[in-house]
Amino acid sequence: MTLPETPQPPSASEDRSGKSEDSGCNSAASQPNRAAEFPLADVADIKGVPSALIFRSKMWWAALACAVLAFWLTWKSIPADGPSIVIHFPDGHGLKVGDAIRYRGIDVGIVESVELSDDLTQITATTTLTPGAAGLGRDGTRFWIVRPQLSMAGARGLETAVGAKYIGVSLGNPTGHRQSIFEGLSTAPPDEDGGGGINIVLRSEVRHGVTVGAPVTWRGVDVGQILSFSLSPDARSVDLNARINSDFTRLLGRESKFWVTSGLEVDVGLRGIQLHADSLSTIVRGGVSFLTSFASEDNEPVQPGHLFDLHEKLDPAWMTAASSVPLINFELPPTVTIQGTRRTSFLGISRKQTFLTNGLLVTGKEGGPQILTATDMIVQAVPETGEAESITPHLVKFNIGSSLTDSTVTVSVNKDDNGAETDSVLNDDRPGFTWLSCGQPMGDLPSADSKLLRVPQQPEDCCICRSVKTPTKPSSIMQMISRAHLNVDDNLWTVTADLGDLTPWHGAPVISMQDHKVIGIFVSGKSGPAIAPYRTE
Amino acid sequence: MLKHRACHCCGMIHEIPELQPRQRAVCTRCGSSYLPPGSRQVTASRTAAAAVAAFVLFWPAILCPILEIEKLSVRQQSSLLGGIIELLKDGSWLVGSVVLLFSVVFPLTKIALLLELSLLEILHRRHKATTLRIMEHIGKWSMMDVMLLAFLVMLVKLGNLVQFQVGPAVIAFVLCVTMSMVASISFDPHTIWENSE
Repeated sequence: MTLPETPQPPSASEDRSGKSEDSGCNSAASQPNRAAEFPLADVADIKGVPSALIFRSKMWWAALACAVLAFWLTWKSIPADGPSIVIHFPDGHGLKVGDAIRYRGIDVGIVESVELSDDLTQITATTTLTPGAAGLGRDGTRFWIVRPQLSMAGARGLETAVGAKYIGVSLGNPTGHRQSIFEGLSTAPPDEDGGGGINIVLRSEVRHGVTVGAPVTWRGVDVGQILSFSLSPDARSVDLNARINSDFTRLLGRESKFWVTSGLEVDVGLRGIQLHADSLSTIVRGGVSFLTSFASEDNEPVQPGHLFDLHEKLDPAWMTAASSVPLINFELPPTVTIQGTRRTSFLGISRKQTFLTNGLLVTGKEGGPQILTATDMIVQAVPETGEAESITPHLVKFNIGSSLTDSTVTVSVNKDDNGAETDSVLNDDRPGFTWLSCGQPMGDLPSADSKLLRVPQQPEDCCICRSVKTPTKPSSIMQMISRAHLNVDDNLWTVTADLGDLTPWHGAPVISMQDHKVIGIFVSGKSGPAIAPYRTE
Repeated sequence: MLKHRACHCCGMIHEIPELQPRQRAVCTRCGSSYLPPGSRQVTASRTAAAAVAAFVLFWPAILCPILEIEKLSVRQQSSLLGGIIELLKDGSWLVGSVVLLFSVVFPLTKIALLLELSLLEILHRRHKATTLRIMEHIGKWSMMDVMLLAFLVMLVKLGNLVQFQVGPAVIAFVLCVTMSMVASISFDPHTIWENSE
């Protein structure tokens, strides 16, 4: 607009005409020399106002779609941030921004910044947890920087030798207070998995070469770990903090004897040199072993923090005391193995199936012995129509006329086409075997058995037992199930631990470790092993 | 209406006769037809729409995470702009500024100028001429599509070494490139002059 008005020669090329023309819509009039060559253009109003231009094309729909998409993409890529957590570490070990926080092997957060603290004595790592891992920011949670550690006792954190460092997390108290500032550990805690178990203190005159992370063994099996050691307040002895894992806390008793298994024991005598060592690991790291004599009637469990003396050597008397007394200081209830044949007829073709299950021998109201077992094997045969198998925790009561001398009972069940029982009789050679009732709810426990049976409120430490045939005499075997491995699922407590094939235990009574009463029946169905606890209707 | 118009193909100037509906003017030399004035507005509208779409998509394309690289268990998310800033921070001034210019500044300018040309009719045509000239020059150097090719090469070449995951910005990026291409293809410089005469 401000360009100087320069007269254009008539030979000005066509493509430059735009530049040379003057302002205004009806500007043609101001160019007389141009009008001489070409006819004068008509004067026209500006037709396209911006609003008229918009929405003339279908492309606007595409533009709208693009705008929506852009909005959605932006929305999606805004990270849903969890809580921010600040961790102070004494040493950074090369931690960098972008490194991960890992809990149970997966990333649960990211390091946002690593800075030196104001007093230059430690580093401050600011991290952001993923929303799902927000629960980790609790009082008692421990953080440490995972770095490669290689020693005679083992290797840890080797992946960080080549790759990036990461921050390890161990949740201490799942119900602790929320917290956002933590003091990181300088090294990984020996008990990374955290949770459960009982911490005890072992007092000894000298350390005996036991190191942090050394195993605590029971008859050579690792059942715990040394967490730390420190001098006792009067500096006259050493206190070793040890933890017994949750699966083995039952092994602890107030009479437990601990001794050191560290190092090598060398006997040089006339017969030559004898070397004694517990395991290669205890030579390097040291170790503590213990035995418990359950002879005493004192059944009180060991409280966390209980102080034990750590002896230098194993006293053979402990071994004999511990081995002569069984771990279970109560008598197992009488169990029987039920061996049966089930005769079913389907579409007129009769079939014979054999089954093996376990039962508990109880005394009925009427005085005669009865058997409690899972009903599905005997009463409700697997439906032939392919319906889902249902495990009913109801108990079956058999009335047995005579006292049992053998631990095996033989039964046979007949079923018709519809799966209904026509004839369910205990076909035992011995006289007096009759059905008493079956499928009764647990509320109808025989009154005579209230000493033996109990209705449990929630999962507890328990064991299952069954009879086994040995050449000499029938005896019982048992299998421990920890409360930690029981999961309440509807009416059943499913066993989550992998305890091997538990099918032979079907129907076995479940005995509480607390008061030694029978609290349910073990069932091993298609959905896995479970405990059917007694219930009151 | 204007009577004389240059053929958009061969440049020969014709006097356009009065046209009945369903008729079109055809160049006597090359046989190309003259577009009726109304259809130009549709083209302009299409250009504007595509330019708007490209402009809207441009921001998520450069700001959202475009690549997720996992190398030796280190996970890194980076956006295009973040990557450029990282480059500049590291001291790679040349590479950083080249990428910044050719994949952020020039494309953005081109889109913005296209928008201006197709939408803002209030501009004086001399301004429009300048804008068009700038746009034509800058458009040559706007190389978003080349950037996309670079990603593709990286995906193919480093596939086994490094774990890759493309972020949401890639979708925006691809669409942005497409839309800006559509806009520049459908942009017809003649509209500039037509409307103001």
